[in-house]
Amino acid sequence: MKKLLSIIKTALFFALLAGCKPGFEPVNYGHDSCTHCRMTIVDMHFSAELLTSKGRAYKFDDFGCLLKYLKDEHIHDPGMKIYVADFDHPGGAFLDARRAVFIRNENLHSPMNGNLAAYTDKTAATHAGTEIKLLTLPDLE
Amino acid sequence: MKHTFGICWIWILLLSAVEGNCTEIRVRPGVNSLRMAIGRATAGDTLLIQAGLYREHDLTIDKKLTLIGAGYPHIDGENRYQLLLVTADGVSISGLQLQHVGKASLTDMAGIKVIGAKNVTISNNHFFNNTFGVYLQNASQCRVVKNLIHCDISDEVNGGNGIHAWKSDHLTIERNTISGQRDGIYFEFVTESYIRGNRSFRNARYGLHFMFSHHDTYTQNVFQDNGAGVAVMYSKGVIMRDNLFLHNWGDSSYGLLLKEITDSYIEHNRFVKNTIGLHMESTTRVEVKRNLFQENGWAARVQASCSGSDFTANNFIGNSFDVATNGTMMLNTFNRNYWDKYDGYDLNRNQVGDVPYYPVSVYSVITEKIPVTMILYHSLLSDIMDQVEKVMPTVIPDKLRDNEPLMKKITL
Repeated sequence: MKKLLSIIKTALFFALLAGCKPGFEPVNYGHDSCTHCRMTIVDMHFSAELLTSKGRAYKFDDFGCLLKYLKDEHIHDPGMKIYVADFDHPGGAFLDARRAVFIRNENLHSPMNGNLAAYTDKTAATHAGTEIKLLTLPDLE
Repeated sequence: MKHTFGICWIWILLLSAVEGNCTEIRVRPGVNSLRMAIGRATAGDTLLIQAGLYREHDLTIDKKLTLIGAGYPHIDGENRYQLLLVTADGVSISGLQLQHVGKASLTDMAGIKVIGAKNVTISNNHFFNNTFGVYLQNASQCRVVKNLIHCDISDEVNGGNGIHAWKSDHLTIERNTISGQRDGIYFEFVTESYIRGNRSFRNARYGLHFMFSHHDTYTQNVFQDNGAGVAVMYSKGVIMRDNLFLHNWGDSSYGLLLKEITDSYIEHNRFVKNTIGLHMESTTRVEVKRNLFQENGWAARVQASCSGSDFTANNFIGNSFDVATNGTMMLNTFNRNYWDKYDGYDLNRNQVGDVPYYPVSVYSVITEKIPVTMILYHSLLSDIMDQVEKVMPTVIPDKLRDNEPLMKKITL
């Protein structure tokens, strides 16, 4: 049964490959693992995705993992897209990390201690709490 | 319950002093009866909590009290609140059923939360359907013993951990049964602690999870049917002994995941029926001794980023692949293990095979590079490749071999 399933999966994979367009790949929570730290992605508040210009999607459980991955692997891909989960709407649509506003706070307890929460804009971020310094992607890189 | 405050007080009976000024206070269900009892008690008192339902929450225990439940009184968070917050040293809580703790995006809500306290004992309690069961924060020398922690909310992804410890030290987590949480036990910045004799099963992510936690020991635990068994990450000096990693099965599941671990010991564990028994990535100096690897998909996956590790006296029985690696470099050693796939000979009868054993099969190298080729596993083609490789090794890392493979199983 397992084997049959994997055959079907592979067949599907090839079928999809034929008509593949680069696009955002939804995170399968509880199953996908983080490209950088290998942990299973479960927390909808902090997940992130890197989409290369060739259309390959890398998923992360923590925005900190994505930043480390970019650094460690020396990725310079001007066409790449970076998506990050909206802290206010876990499980909802991802934000474009270049437009998002971030908050870093130790009390967030993100899976890999990146402790970065992303919000759509400044107002959403300031609603989140006190003593907050707003950050954008260039601040983090 | 429409009792007035006056009636409540009747239920709170102050019994005669037992020793010095220690008192036993009997608590019966009623409006705010627990809160008032805690408020009235003085340090050293014992609260005897009678069976029944207590809809009380955010109860702060800020003096040294002993809480004992008779017949598992239910303390209920109505899926909105957290229950007990312990901030005093020496508190002891046992015999309670803590249930239906709520969820919040910024606070981690728990059945019992210990904040900055020492010598707290949490034993023989039931935790049902809570976000977090026990939460230890800046705690020291606390004991969590023989608790039953279970969550059956299907939305496992949003759940919390059974026992969660953060920035703590010298903890003892013993003989608990944990299921249905996100991680069974989670250690983050926890040092010099013991985890012993727990059963952690059917948790969404890991049975046990270490992050940045040094010099801890876990022994005699069972980790079964978790998303993945145990993950030990970014830690050093971890001792893993006498555990059973059973049936942690799934796409990329494993019994034990090691990532960036140094100077640790994996001794006398059993890895049975896991997709990957042991997965090692960027580890340094890990001793893997006297373990049983049985009927796993991959017994051990040792990434090329690992170094200085030593596999000695392990039994490898009935695994699809014994060892897999993703490069040609191998800075780890394999010595005197028993491999059931070894088909060498022993002419001098010293129980050690005369030709080395190469535990990496060609096919595991290929599937490591191109995972989809797995569908051709055990096909004629793959068998031919295996035979050819045995005669003329080309693909498999030459250094990855056991020079003294044992002819007989090691009795563990």
